[in-house]
Amino acid sequence: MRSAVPASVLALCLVWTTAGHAENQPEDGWSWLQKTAQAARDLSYRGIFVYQGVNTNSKSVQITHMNYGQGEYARIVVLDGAPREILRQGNDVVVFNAREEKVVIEKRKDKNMFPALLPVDMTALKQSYQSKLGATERIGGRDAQLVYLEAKDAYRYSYKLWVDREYGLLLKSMLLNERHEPVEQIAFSQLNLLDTQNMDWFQPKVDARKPYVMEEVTDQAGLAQAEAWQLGALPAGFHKIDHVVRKLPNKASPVSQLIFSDGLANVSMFIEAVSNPASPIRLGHRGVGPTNMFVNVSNGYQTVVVGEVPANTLMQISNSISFKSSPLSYKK
Amino acid sequence: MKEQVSALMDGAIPIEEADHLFSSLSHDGEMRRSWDTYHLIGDAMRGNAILSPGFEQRLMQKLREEPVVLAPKPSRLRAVTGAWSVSGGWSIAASFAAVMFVGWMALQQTGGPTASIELAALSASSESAQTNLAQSNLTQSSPVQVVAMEQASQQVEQTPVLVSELPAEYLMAHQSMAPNAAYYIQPVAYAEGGR
Repeated sequence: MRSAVPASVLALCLVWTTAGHAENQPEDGWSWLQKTAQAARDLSYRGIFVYQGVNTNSKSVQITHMNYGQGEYARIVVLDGAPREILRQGNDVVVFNAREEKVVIEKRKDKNMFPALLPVDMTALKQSYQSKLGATERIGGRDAQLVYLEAKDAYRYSYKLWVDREYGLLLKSMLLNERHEPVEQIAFSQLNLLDTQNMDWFQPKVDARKPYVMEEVTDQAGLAQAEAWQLGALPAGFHKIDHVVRKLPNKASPVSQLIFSDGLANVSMFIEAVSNPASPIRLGHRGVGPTNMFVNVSNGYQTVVVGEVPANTLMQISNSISFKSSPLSYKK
Repeated sequence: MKEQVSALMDGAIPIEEADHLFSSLSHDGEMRRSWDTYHLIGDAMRGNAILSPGFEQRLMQKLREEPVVLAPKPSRLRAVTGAWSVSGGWSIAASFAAVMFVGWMALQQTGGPTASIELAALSASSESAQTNLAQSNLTQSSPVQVVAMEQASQQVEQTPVLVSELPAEYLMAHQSMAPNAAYYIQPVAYAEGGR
C-alpha cells in the first residue's frame, strides 16, 4: 500500500526574530538525544505534526506546549477524524474524547508523547539501544541532525530521529520494526517557538454542546490475591515496572496487568483464570502496525501479552511466566 | 464569560465582584455547564475522580437563595488573565517559525499483500512445538498475521479458537497504562480494528 505523494506546494517560510544561540553542539548521539528530550520539555512551542501509521489514515495534530519555569502545560488537539484533545499539566494528562452524546474525560499517565518521545533519564535505554550520528538534513528550512537510536538486539524496534540542530526540538521521528521497515512516522509540518505567556489556550474546546463526563474508573488498587504465578527470565533489557489489578469491560472478574519496559518500549501482560474450561480459548498472535498481541493458555490461566515490540519478544515474555497451580474455578 | 467563570474558580476575580457571574450561573444553562466542566477538569487534573455527591445541587440551591442585585455596580473587573496564568520567569531569546512539507512515507505492513492472512495453526495435542502449518486467505480489510501456538509441554483440553479478532479492551487497557505515541492519536482506529 503506497500513499500517493502530493508533490504539490512545498511551502517553506522561515522567520528569524532574533539570531544568536550558543554554538555548543553535542558531539555524540546520546548527547543529541539528551538535548532533544530536554528541549521538548523546556521550550515553549506551537506546531502541527502529522502522524502516519500502517494502514491507518494519517492524522494532523496540533500541539501547544509552554514551560516558563513553572512546569509544563500542553494542549494537543487531533485535527482529523473524531474530536479528541489532550490537556497536560506536569505529569497529569487528561484526554477528552467526543463520543456520541458526550465528551468522556480520561485520566492517563504521561509517557512518550511526541515530540517528548524519549525519557530524560536515558540510563535504561543505553542498556538496550545504541545511538549513532547520521547526516545533517534539511527539514522545513531547518538544519536537522539525524540520530539513529538502534536496538542492540531483535527484541525491540529502532528509531530514526531528526533533531533541530539549534534548539534540539525533535522535528521528525520514524519507528522501524525488526526488519528495519518503517511502521510509524511522526513529523512536524509546522512549528513555531512561542514568546507569549498568555495561557488562554489551555482549555478544552472539544464540543461545548455536549456534557463532559469522567470515564468510569475501572482500576483497582492492590495486588492479586494469592499469586499463583512466577516470573522467569525476561528478554534482555526488559523489567517489570508495574502491576495492577483492574476490571476490564466485558469481564466479570478483575484481571491482573503486569507492565514491562526496556525504558522506551512497553509491554502489558494480562492474567486471568479461564473461567469455563469447556468454552473455546483464543490463542495466537496478531499484529497491527507496531503493536503486537500474543495469547496463550497455561495451567488454567490465560495470558494476553500486548506491546509495541516484535512478536518474538511477546512470546518470550509470555513464556517467562509459570503457574504453580490451576485456579480454583478450573476443573479438569 | 467562560473565561470569567474559570477565573472565578481560581480566585482571580474577587467574589464581591462576581455578582453578575453568579446570577448568570444560576440562570444561564450554558454558563452553568461550563462551571461544571471547569470543575470537572480541575478535579481530573488533581486526580479526584468525582465531585462530592450533590455538590452541584447544593451550590445551585445556594445561588438561588442569594438575592439578585439589580443595581449595576461600577465594573472594576480587571483584565482576566486566564485560568492558569503564569508570569515572569524564563523567556526565549530567539524564536523560529518553520512550515514544513511532510514527506509521505510509504508504510507497508509486512507479511503479504493487503487482505491476506497468514495462518499457522497447531494441533493442540501435538508433541512438537510447530506442526500443521495451514495457510488460508480470509477476507479482512487490513492485513493481519495470525499465528496460533501452544507450548509443547502443555496439554490443551479445549479446541483453540484462532485469534482472528481480539477484544479491543486489552489494547485499550495496555495503552492506558503504557501509552505509545499513537495512542493519543489513533485509539479509535485501534478499537475499531480490534473488533
